[in-house]
Amino acid sequence: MQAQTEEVAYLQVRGITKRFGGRAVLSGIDLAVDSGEIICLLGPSGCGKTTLLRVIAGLEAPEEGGVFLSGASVADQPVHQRGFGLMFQDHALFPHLSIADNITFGLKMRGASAEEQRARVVELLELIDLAGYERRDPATLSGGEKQRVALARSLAPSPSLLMLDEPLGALDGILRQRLMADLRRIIKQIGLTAIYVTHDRQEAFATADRIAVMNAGRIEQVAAPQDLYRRPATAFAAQFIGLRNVFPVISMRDGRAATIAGEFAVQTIPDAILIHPGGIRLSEATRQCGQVLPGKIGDMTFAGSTYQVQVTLTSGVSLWLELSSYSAPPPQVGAEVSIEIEPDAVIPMGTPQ
Amino acid sequence: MLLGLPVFLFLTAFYVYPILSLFAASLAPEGRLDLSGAAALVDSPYYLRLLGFTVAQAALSTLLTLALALPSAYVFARFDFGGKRLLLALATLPFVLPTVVVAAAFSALIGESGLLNEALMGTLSLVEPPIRLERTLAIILIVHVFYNYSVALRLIASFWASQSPSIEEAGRTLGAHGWRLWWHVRLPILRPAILGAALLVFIFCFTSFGVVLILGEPRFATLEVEIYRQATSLFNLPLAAALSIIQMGLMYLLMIVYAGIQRQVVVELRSPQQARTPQRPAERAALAASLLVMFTLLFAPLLALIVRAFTLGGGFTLRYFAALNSNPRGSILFTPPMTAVGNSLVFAIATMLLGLLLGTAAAYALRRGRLARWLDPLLMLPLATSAVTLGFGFIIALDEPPLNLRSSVVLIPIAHTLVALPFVIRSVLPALRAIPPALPDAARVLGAHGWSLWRRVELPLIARGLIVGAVFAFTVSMGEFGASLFIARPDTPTVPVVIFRLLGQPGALNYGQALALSVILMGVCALAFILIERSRSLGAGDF
Repeated sequence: MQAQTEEVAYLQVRGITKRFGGRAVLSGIDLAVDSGEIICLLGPSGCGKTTLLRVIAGLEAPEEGGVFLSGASVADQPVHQRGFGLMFQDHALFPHLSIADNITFGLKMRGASAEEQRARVVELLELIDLAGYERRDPATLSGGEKQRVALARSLAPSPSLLMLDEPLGALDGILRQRLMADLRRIIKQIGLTAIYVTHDRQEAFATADRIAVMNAGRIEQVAAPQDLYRRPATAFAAQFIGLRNVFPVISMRDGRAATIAGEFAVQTIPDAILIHPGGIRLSEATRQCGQVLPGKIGDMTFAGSTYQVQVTLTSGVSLWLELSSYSAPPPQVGAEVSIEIEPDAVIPMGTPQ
Repeated sequence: MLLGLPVFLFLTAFYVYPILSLFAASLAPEGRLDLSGAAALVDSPYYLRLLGFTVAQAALSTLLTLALALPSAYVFARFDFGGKRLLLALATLPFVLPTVVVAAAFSALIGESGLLNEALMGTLSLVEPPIRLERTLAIILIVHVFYNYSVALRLIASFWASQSPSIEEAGRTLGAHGWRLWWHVRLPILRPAILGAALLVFIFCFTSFGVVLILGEPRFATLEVEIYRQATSLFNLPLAAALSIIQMGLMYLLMIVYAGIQRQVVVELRSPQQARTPQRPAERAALAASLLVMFTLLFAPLLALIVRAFTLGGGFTLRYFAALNSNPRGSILFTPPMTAVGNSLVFAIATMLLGLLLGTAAAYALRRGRLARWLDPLLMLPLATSAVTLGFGFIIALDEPPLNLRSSVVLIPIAHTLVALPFVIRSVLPALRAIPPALPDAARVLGAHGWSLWRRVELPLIARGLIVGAVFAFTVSMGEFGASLFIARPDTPTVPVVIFRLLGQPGALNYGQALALSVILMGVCALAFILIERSRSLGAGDF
C-alpha cells in the first residue's frame, strides 16, 4: 500500500499484534524508521514499548504482523541471526566475564579473529571513555560505567539496528543528563539507526529525532520532539509529556466544542481541548479587553527555571501556566490577575489512530 | 519439560515402587488384605511407648539445642571478632560428618575407655571409670546437640543479622528494656527463625538412627531403630513395614509444616545490621562463653577421635592404620577394612555423577512452568523418607522381577542418589533461578544459541551450584549409614558399615581400627566440606 509508493523506510513494523494470556499487549502497531534515525518509544510502564522492542529483536514472536528490514521480512531469522543490537534495562552484563570478554561476546559468536576482537575492544573502550578497563570485573563498575560497557557490547558486532530499553533507568540525576547527551552523540557519530525506549519525556526529548508516544498497546502519535511538545495530537500524549489544561469535550454545537473551560471553534470533532500552558500569558489585573479573562492565583509550585502557576478564573475553571522564575517576582497566591490565551494555544485533541 | 522425565522415571522405579511394596508387605503380607499387623501395633502399649520415646528424645534434643544455640546466635549476629567467619564455617562441619564417625568420636572422648575417663582415672587413681554415659539417654542427647547446634545457630543468626536494627531501636525509644526488650521485641521478631530451626532439629532427631543404634541400648529405640531391628533381627517384615509407613506419614506432615515456616524465613542476602566488637565486660563474657561451648561441644570429640586413633598406651602409633590392610582369620569381615575405602570412593563418585545428572535435569524441569507444581512435592517425599525405610524398601522390592537388583552393586549408588538428590536440587535450583532472564536474552541477541548459549552463559553461572551439589552428593554417599546397612553386600561393604561392625566387636584392635577408619572418613568429609564452603561463600543455596 503506502510502503509500495516511493521509497521504503529502513525498518518497517507492520500491524504487529502480541497477546499474553489472551490480553493484547500490542494491537496493530505500525512504525517506520529511516536509516540513521533515532526514534524514541515513549510511554508509561505496561504500555507495550518493551514488548515491541523484544518483538523487533526476535525475542518474542508476534501473533500478527511483521518486521521488515530494507523491505525484506526478518520473520524467518531467529534472534541470534538478526544482527540487531539490544541494550537491556539493567545492563545485563555477563557477571562471569571480564569487560573485554563482555564486549567481544557478539564478535566471538560470529567467529571474528582474536586480532579483530582485541582491536575492537580498544576502539570501543576509547569511544565510551573507559580505556584500560579490559580486565575489570563488571561487579566493580559504577552504574554509569556499566551502562557504557553495555552500550559498547551491543555496538561491538556493528549491528544494523540498535535498540535501547530504558538504558538510563537505573541511573540518577546529573549522571543521567550527561549520559543522555553522550548516548545521542555516540549513536549519531556512528550513524546508527536506533530505537530508544523510555518512560521519561526529558530523555525522549534529549535523544530522539522522532518520538512515538505509546499507550495501552497502540502508538498515539509520531512526531519530532518539538512538534510533539507544541502540538500533541491526543489527550494522552499531551498529559504524558507534562501538559496540563486538557478539557474533555462535553458536546458539539455549530462547529464549536463545549468544555467546562468554555466553547472553542474547531474543524473536526475532537475528544478534548488542550489549552497549551505555553500560550497563556499573565496580564495586568486592571486591563480588561477581548481575550483577557479575570481570575485569581489559586496555587503555585516553584520548579526551578519556572513557576507553575494555577489561575482560577471567575467561571471557576482552573488553568495552569508557566512563568519564567529568573527575573519575575514570585506570584502571590490569592492575587487578582488576568490571563490572555493566544489563539494558537487552543489545540483540539483527537482519538488515537 | 522433557528434562523432568529421567527424574520421574528414577523416582518411580526406585522410590515409589519400593515404598508401595512396603505398603503391600505391611497390609497384605500373604497377598490379601490383612490388617492384623497394623491392629497389633495399635493395641500394643510397647509401640506406643516406642513412639513416645521417639518424640520425647527428639523434643528434649530440640530444647537443649535451642537453649545453647540461641545465646550463641545473639553473639554471632551482634558481635564481630577475629576468625568469626572461619568459626561459623567450621561449626557446620558436623553436618557432613557420618553418624558412625561422630559416635566413634564421642566414645573416644567420654566413653568408658575414652580419653576423659582415662585422664580422670590416672589423676584420681580410680579403678573404675567415673563417667558412665555409654548406653544412656544423656549421650544420645549430647550427640544430637552436637549435630544440630550449628544448624540452629546458622539459621537463627543469619535471620537475626538480616533484620533491620531500626525495629529494635524503635522498641527501645518506646521504652522497652532488659527482659521486656527480649520478650516483646526480639523473640517475636525471631519467632519464624526459631520455629523453623526447632522443627528442623526435631525432624533430624526424630529419625535418628546411627547415634541411637551405636550409642544407645535396646530400651532406647526410636521408630527408625525399631524398623531396623524388626526387619533384620526379628524378621517381622509386616511390622517393620507398618512402622515405616507410620514414620513416613509423620515425617511428611512435619515437612509440610516446615516448608510453611521456611517461607517466612527469607533471609536477604545483604545484611543491614552492622556487627561490632564487644566492649562491655558482660558482652565479652557472653562471647567467651559461646566460644567455650562451641569448642567443647564441637571440636573436643573430634580431637579426641584423632588422638585415640594415633595413640596406644600413651605413645604415638600407626598400628591401627596399618592393621586396616590386613584381614586376620576369624575376622567378621570378608575383606581387609581398607578395601571398604575403595568401595566407598567408587560408590561416592557414582552417586555424585548420577545425582548431578538427575539433579540438574530436575532443576531445569523445576525452574519454571507447570511441571514444577507437581514435581516439587514428589521430590520432597524421599526427603521425608528415612534412609532405613529406603533400604528396607529396596530389599523387599528389588530382589525379584521386574527389578531384580538384590545382588547388584548398583543398588548402593542408587540408594545414595535418592538420599542426595534433594541436596543437589537445592544447590542447583537457586543458582539457576538466580540467572536474570535478561542475560540469556542478551546472549541470544549477540548471536549465541543452543549449546554455545548454555556453555558460555548458563553453565558458568550455575557452576558454583553444581560444585556444591556434586560435593554434597559425594559426602552424603561417603557417610550414608542407614540404607547401606540393609543393602551393602558382605563382600563390598562401605566404610560406615565396616566401622559399625568393628565397633560392635570386642578387642582393642577392632576398636582402634574403627577409630582409624573414622579418622580417614572424617578427613575425606572435612575436605569435601571445605570445598562446599569455598564454593558457597558467594551464595549458592542454603537450608
